[in-house]
Amino acid sequence: MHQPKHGACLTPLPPAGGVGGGPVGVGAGNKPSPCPSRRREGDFRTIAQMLGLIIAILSSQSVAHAAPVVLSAGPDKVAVTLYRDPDRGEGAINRDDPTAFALIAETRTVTLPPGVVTVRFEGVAGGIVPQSAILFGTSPRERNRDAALLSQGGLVDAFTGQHVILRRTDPGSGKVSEERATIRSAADRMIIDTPRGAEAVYCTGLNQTLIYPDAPATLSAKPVLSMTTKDQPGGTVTITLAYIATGFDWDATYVATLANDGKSMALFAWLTMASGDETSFVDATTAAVAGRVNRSAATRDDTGRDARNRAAWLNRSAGCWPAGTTSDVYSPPPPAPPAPAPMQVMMESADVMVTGMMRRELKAAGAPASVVAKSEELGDLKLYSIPVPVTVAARSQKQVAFLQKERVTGQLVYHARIDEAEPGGPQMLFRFRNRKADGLGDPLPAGKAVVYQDSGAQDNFWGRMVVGESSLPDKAVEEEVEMVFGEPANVTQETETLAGQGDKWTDHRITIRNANPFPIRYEIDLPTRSSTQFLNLPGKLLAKPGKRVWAVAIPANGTTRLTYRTTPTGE
Amino acid sequence: MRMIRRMTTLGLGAGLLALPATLLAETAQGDVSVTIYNNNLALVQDVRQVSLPGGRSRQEFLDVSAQIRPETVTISGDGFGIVEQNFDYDLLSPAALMQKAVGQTVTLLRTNPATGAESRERALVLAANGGVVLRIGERIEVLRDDGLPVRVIFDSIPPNLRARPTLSVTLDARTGGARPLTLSYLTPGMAWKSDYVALFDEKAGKIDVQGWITLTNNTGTTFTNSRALLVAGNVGQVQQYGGYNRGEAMRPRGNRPGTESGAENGRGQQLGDFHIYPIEGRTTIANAQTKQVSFLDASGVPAHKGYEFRNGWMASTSEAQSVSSVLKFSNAKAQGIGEALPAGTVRVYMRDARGQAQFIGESEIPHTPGGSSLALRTGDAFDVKVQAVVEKRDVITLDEWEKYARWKVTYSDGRTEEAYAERPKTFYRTTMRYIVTNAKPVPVSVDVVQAGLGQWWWWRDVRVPEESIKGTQDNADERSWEVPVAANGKTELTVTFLTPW
Repeated sequence: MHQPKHGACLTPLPPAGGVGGGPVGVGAGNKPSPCPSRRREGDFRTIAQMLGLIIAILSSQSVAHAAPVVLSAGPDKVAVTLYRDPDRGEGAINRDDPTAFALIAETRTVTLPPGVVTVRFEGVAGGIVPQSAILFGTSPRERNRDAALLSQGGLVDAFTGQHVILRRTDPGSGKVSEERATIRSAADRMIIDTPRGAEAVYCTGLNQTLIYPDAPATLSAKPVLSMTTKDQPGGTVTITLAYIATGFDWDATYVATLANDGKSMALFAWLTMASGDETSFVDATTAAVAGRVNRSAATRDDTGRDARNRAAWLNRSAGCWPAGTTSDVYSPPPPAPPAPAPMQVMMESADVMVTGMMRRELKAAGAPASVVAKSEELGDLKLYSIPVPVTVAARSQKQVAFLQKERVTGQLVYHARIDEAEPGGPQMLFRFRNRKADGLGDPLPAGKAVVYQDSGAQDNFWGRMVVGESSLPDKAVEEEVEMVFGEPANVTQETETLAGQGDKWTDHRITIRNANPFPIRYEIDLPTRSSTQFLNLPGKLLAKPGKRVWAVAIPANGTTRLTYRTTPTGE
Repeated sequence: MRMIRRMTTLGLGAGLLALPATLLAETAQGDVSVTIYNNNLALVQDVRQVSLPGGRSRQEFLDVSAQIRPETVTISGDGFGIVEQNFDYDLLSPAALMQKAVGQTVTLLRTNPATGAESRERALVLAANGGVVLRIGERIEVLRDDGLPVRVIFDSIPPNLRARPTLSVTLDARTGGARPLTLSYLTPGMAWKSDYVALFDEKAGKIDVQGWITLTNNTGTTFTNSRALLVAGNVGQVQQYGGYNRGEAMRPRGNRPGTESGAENGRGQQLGDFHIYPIEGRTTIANAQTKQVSFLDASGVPAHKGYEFRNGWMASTSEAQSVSSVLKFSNAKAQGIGEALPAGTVRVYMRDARGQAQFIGESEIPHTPGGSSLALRTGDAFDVKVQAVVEKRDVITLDEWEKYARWKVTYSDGRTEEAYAERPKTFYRTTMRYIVTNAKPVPVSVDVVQAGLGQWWWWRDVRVPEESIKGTQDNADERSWEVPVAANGKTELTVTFLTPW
């Protein structure tokens, strides 16, 4: 028997090891207890964090696994590293159910009595993948994650064959009557035995419910992670618990502001982080990893998901009289899927973060972000760490700057591409090389970009205009980057097939008209290898990997033509 | 039968209420041993002390796996014979209860919703097909058609309707008395696999590897205080459709099975062709539980990183693509592991600038015997990319001629004539360019692999007259080159292929 030194309140907890462990932690609300409920984690955590609550259990039988249970209510320190879903491509983060994951490392302090001890870890992320857990600072005999949940179905299963109380309330008079009953079958097809005979309790249409004497020790509100130590001398130990949790994602969000002359842009980038988890990580050391991380389909929590689904989708009257009116009338509708959580895009005002709403004020040169995530090499990946602790709140999205470049020089290009014989419609893009000399030279993780341009009106009266949206794949230093952001309105391309078609060849003409009051650069890509061969092209073509480029400057309000002949290569 | 056992707990400190005593469902299981295989299969052996009366008796076995495969049950013990084995899965439900009551009389208890007054009637159940048709006195009525509350009270529950599927055995004992009875059966719902933690120190060129056995129990049943043995391998279930190696082709190069027995350092043992992993002591495998025990802890295992780019076809990529980062090590005894690695997931970590372990990727491995070379793809390198470009492709005709048809004509006078046709050998000449770039501040070496060279037999005549770096023809389908790239540099590899297609 180990006694908590500061024992203000003792809450015995079941060992997570399983059945037959020990006494029940919290009654099902049948008696007012001065002890805080296990489910009211808020109060409980602070006490437990201070004390490192030790719970000892007396057992009437000597069961080897009935080790004392020590509760670790929450981490002292936590680090969260988010990963991007590589298969999301250019799609947006699914805020309701983020599809990637995070590595969460929690530093916890626990005081252990000597001997074999079970430590229960509470306050872990709901999306924990239990098999990924690593424990630094201890080498346990075994680790367990129990997902037998306290629910209506769980209670019925635990009390099958046992006595419960059936309580019936008369809706007219409010009169309550109670009766002893024995549960004979499962929750979704419940039959009870009363002294009068057998009854299907949820098929009667009466207002009745079952009252249980206690909550079984083996059931818990949430899946519980625990470890059982080897025989150890006891004392205070610091354990780092690291695990992968699903339900997180991040993305790079670029804000590009084109200069009016189209020769440079200001580039600003946000680390947009989303957590769909139910647990908040307060003052966490937060980072994000860029680059593609190989994943295994086995890293997921099937057991926990199945247990949650089974508990959530109980239909009590599913087994009522065959196709009878009973089930039609009284079958409760299936529980509605959880309402989408309100999007907490805005963070508390005290946060150092600048949020999306404030983007408008971010001028090309002004309003620098005061906190910028720093990038470092992590093997072949990039790690962006936020230099100050931040709170990764439950079901929220958060943004921190990671890149601020005032002037990245490049080129505004109107661009079309020929795949077979004639080009597709022209697009506008900004092309730059990711290098120091041109004002950049930092790795650019994949993400979306919003491209702005000052309206150019007098005094910038209209502020900025959105000229388009774009997306980038991962781009390393020295790579050429093309931000395709839209279709031009003032530059048109007309294609026609000319008369005099030969047996195996066709002549084409493209007419490009620039209605802008300024000159533009126009490019057409011709693949070096396709089912079509291009002949009679003008002399000067740029060679790029896999293609030749016809590039031309079109003067303000000018027109240019390109004629060429195509012939099939026979492939 | 389950029973309620009351226990007391001492409360300390301010609370001091005797906390609610607990319910402890006592299990009907005896001394349980569970042998768990990788492929969702477990063998449960349960030695129960059973008191048998002399002669024939029916024994019910509670607390067996809820997913038991009843046809695999065997019961052994002394002094009795088995008459029959039954598995009853006619489950007790409102519908089943009503259907069994057809032709019988039930009690209806009506409650007046306004007054609460109860009235009682006996009713004969005529049918239960879409609405329960009842004869009450001289009238016919459909149960609860009016939507008003009615309690239907059945006099008894038919004996073969069960709360849960139940295994029962009729035994014929020579003499009465208690004796151990061994119940053994197979059940799905339990499986295990391995989870490895590999902490990679790139500078030192070493990894620390921990291996965990992860066991999951979704049988619906808790196995209390059991001995557990895990067997590495997919045992006892013949693959009906012939096993196919899922993802095998996509594993990076450098994986080679070893020949060491591999039960040297860890907790594993070898039993016949299998590696077995006993769990120390006794453990309770609770329902809906994921249990992990350590079986391997090795540190300072030499490891290095490689890069691989695989072009599956002689095609261009429109943009440069990141190459795969591949972690290579061996589980040979001499390298520090010396243990077979059962199938599972290897998660690789590296320490960041602050010393915190960060996850850099994971990879699944098959059962890996000792002494194997492993090459695990952890992810893509952000800074190392390859762009494959088809530079040129044209048809060439060699001076060489080949026979492609031959025939023999036999005339009616017995004269024969032979002839053949020839044509010049035609090849396609494809010039590939692989542009390998490295934005890392250190030089790297990338294995560039061109696949798709000889997938069918008539494609096998592939020649490589020119290549800027000497390549290796790994097999008919793949040729590879080790391309060195300087720090922040670029290397171009050009290769000319002559192919018959």
